[in-house]
Amino acid sequence: MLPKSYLVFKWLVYASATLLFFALQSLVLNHIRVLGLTPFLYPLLPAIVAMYEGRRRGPVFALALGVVCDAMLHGPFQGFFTILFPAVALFAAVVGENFLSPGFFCCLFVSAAALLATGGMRILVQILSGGGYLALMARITVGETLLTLPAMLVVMPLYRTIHRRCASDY
Amino acid sequence: MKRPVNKFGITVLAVAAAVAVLLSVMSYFSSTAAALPNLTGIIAAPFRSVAASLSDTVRQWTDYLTEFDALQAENEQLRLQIAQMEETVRRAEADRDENVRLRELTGLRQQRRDLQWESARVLVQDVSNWSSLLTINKGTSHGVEKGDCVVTEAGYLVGVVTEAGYNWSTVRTILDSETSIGALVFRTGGTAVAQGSFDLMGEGRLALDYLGSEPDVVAGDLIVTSGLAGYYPSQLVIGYVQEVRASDNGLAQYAVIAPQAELSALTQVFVVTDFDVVD
Repeated sequence: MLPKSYLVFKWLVYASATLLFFALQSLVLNHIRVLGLTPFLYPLLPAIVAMYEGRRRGPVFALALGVVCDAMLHGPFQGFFTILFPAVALFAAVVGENFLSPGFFCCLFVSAAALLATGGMRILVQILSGGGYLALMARITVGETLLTLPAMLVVMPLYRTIHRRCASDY
Repeated sequence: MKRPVNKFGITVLAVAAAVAVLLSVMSYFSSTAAALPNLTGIIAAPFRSVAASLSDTVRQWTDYLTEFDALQAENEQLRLQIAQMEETVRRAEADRDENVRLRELTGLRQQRRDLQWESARVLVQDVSNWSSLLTINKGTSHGVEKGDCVVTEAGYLVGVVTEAGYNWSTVRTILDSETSIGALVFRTGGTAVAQGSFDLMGEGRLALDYLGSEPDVVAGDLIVTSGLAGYYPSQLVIGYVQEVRASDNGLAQYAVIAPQAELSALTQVFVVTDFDVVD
């Protein structure tokens, strides 16, 4: 079992890397528009961390990230990211532990699932609140997913490095 | 194979659900921003300010390097425009004096439109595929309230404050799919509703709906706020009509408006904290 101080250090490194991705989203990705769409990085973060860290630590990280996102971003309702991210993380951890070994294809799969789940939840909320066109919102969700997936090539290596370095040190 | 979801996973999901419900309830019962976003906003404000300054500097340098020729041409054009406007101002001053004299003669009431505003800096442009929001650096401590209009220095409508924290506020721009504002076609005086939509948001446009059975709107028409019901000031410029389209069912028409405010390049805005209702 890892000492507590080491665990704290490890999750601080994860938090710092996540902060970098927040900066990447707000300073760079928010200004990119392809066919009227912008990449949306946040759902990738809990999915990829959970893929590496498993079913115990991944969803807890996702819960914390969800609370931060709800405080910083504007979802369809308060608590949207808090409830969505742990579910996404749990799914990613289950896939990583049971079906696909954590690597490129697993990351691609869980990232796509996380983005589609986020878009799907938004569509559900819009429909339940009586607004929006399903076909149009589905098109936005698919477009957003395709546009954001390449960002996985930046997110995955950094989280993988943190995971491997912290695992190999002990 | 391990059990897909163990007891720990269920516990985390239950905690997440409880926190989400708590956040929703806090947000629902709060007249200003909910406690957690408010606190986060206060803490994040200095960092957002630094990030905004950094972003502005980078953009200024990029613009300088990539758009030098275009800026030079624009500068020449602006000089010409200023000369023309100075001539217009001179004529307007004479007209204003004449207007005052005629009003006094006929006993007409002055149509004032006094606006009180608070200058604010744009900290974050939270433009996603689902919403178009801005975070500004003024909040309830500066007299900003939910529902206040936000305009540019030229008086072009930017959006409406949807959440007011202590020293920050969230502004929903006119492009957001949840925006719905009473509007007026300046040329004809016809009323309509300017509203954002998912399909036009990506193009940086919004729709003018509820035009009636025989809409009298053409490309180039100026659209302003109607000010009806007194929620927002009247005569704030929303934008110009680009084209008129038939709706999906083919029974009605709507106009596509190009906003006059350059929403993607905003750094400074003005919150209308109070105004006189003009009939």
